[in-house]
Amino acid sequence: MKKVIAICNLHKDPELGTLTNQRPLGAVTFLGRYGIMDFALSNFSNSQIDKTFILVKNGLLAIRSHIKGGVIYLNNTKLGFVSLLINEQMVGKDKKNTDLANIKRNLEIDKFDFDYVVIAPSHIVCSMDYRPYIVEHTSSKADISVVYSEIHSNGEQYAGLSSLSLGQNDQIIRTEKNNLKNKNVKLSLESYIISRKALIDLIVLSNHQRKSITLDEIIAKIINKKLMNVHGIKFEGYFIPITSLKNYINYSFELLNYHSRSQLFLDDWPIYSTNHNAPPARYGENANVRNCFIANGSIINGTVTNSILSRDVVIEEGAVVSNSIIFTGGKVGHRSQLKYVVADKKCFVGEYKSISGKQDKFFEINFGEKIK
Amino acid sequence: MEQKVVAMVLAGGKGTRLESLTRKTAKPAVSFAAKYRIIDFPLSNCANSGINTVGVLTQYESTELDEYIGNGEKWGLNGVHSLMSSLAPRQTESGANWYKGTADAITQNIDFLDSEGAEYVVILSGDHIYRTSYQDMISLHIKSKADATISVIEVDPKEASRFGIMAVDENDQIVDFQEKPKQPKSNLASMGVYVFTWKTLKKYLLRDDKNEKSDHDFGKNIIPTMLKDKRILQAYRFSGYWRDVGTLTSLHEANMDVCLNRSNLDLFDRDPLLRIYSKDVLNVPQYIGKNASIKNSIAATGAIILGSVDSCVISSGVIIENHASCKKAVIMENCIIKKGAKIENAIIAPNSIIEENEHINLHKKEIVLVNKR
Repeated sequence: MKKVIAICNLHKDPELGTLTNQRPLGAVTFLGRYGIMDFALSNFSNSQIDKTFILVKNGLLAIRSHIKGGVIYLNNTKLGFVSLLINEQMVGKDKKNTDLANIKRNLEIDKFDFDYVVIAPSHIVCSMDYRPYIVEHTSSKADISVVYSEIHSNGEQYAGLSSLSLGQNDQIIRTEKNNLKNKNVKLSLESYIISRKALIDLIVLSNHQRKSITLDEIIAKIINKKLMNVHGIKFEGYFIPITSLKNYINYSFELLNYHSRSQLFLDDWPIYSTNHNAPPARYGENANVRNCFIANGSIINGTVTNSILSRDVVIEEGAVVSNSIIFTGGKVGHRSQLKYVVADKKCFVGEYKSISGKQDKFFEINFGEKIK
Repeated sequence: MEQKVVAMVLAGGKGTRLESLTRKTAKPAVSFAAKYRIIDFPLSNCANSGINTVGVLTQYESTELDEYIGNGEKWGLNGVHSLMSSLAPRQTESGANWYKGTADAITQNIDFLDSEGAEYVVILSGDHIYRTSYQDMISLHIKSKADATISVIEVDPKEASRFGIMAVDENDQIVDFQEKPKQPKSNLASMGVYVFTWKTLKKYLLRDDKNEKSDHDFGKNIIPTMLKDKRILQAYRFSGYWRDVGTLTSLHEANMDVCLNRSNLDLFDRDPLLRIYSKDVLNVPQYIGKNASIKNSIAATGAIILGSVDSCVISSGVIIENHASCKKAVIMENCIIKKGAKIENAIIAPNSIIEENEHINLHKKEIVLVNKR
């Protein structure tokens, strides 16, 4: 059996404004219960890859506090590990603090016994089984494989991703930024399978480049200059690119739809997340809840529609919350109204308040902010 | 804690009065309040009391319970100085024996208690719903130099004949014990929660073991014998919510206490020292549908509610389809209540499917159990 290690690359975590002020995107709550990186880590674990590194750019404490040692993601807790790699000297030096620099400094390739490494970002959320892809990578004799999705309705939600052109035998011959012009496009999901030797070569190659070069950039260079054999592997499933606050919000609400939800959450593909020991959610005498995700520990005695409430959120009697996302520990007081609001953890909205954003511009409440 | 305290949780009972709920599951493994199993309560209480060595005495249908208990990790009992051990009856040099009674279950595990260096033993039932720290009770036991301390709770005098009743003197020392008396001498009922000084208890267990007429039961044999011997038996007054959920009615009622928020078993108070731990399920948060209604209820992760729910306990993985309606129902994990079905005053056993337009127990007060897995 081939030896595979995995890397979850948080260097590429997009910034979503308020929500990522407190922590990297990987640790941002999604659907009231997950951290965004739970998907990538669960994909590794469900694919039986048990040796996982997380490349942390910054916000180490938030990541550490979210994964709690990582045991929840492991098949075997003795053989497996989830290890955090951070390039401490580079923290704060944004341009030089790259994923490649982090790998070079912290991943001891020589000492580590592996045939392939799977590298995935946290912000492309999907349920992906890497096992058949590793088989395909091996049989294609490629140096690097890139997982892509074929899209027939290219649009703004896919901005920021890269498009791929494939030649014979699914070899990738060109990559460029998704220019949104073509409706039909093959988009890189930024999941890479790299053979050991190719990784070493790639690092050597990067030594001759500018210091701020990233993994994506060097792979693009390798493709466009045909420096290695790069193979495309098609992903047929559903994915969510959380590249902007708008995407985060829109996809969160899209998943309220059962059809979308059942494409992301597959029966035999659990998504692991930390247990917080909250009691069940409680609905009081005056609760009126429709089309919502509600996490455990919430206490609802008001009206909540088309919304997502994380753990331990309290909605008091007479409060009306609609089209909003409220993070863990938020509280909305008696007869207050919230519409098109995204509220970070532990927000407090007093009584008789009215807060309203717009469908295309949500009102953001900061971590711990009190609106009295 | 300086003294070594070991808790022994009696979890081997068949729970016949819970009918088919316990056909394949030991009573302590029966689900409660949407996300818990009954045994989560005593085990979380142990953890919150700083008792790190816990033996769980299993017997009837122990496989599922054993699997659930695991290494104690769910209650944090897998730490460096912790030990969680599932103690089923086993074959020894003298042959194979089932546990003949509550006391015999401890007698057969004298080796375990000795090897753990127990000084005090806390005996608990695996099927009681309450939140507490046993610390105060243990302190009282030590301070009063008692041989045994029994947790008691005041009950309605009219109900007293259902319980084991303790009569106490002015220092709360027990002077008389009546098992289910017709004319109770007090309203202090034993909760079946005991602290013993291990050295003393061991003597009584060995003595009881030789008595062929004995039922080998704490309430019937050990406590009365200790009383007769004028041992110091201290009563510890427990105040707060405590329920023995041994019958369908009491199980239903205790569930309603939580969902209607009508008791002081407040699982939502977030007291970190009284938290109840349980298994985590890997489901998406509960989804409440566009035409659903839910009130006076509790629901756990992974439930999908599209119909109407009033005064219900909805466990994880339950699906309540459109136009289905549930009232005063306890719906255990992974049940499907299909379109147009109507349920009232019922307990629905795990994995049951209630068919389209099926009506269950409408307009009746008595609680029914439906088990259609």
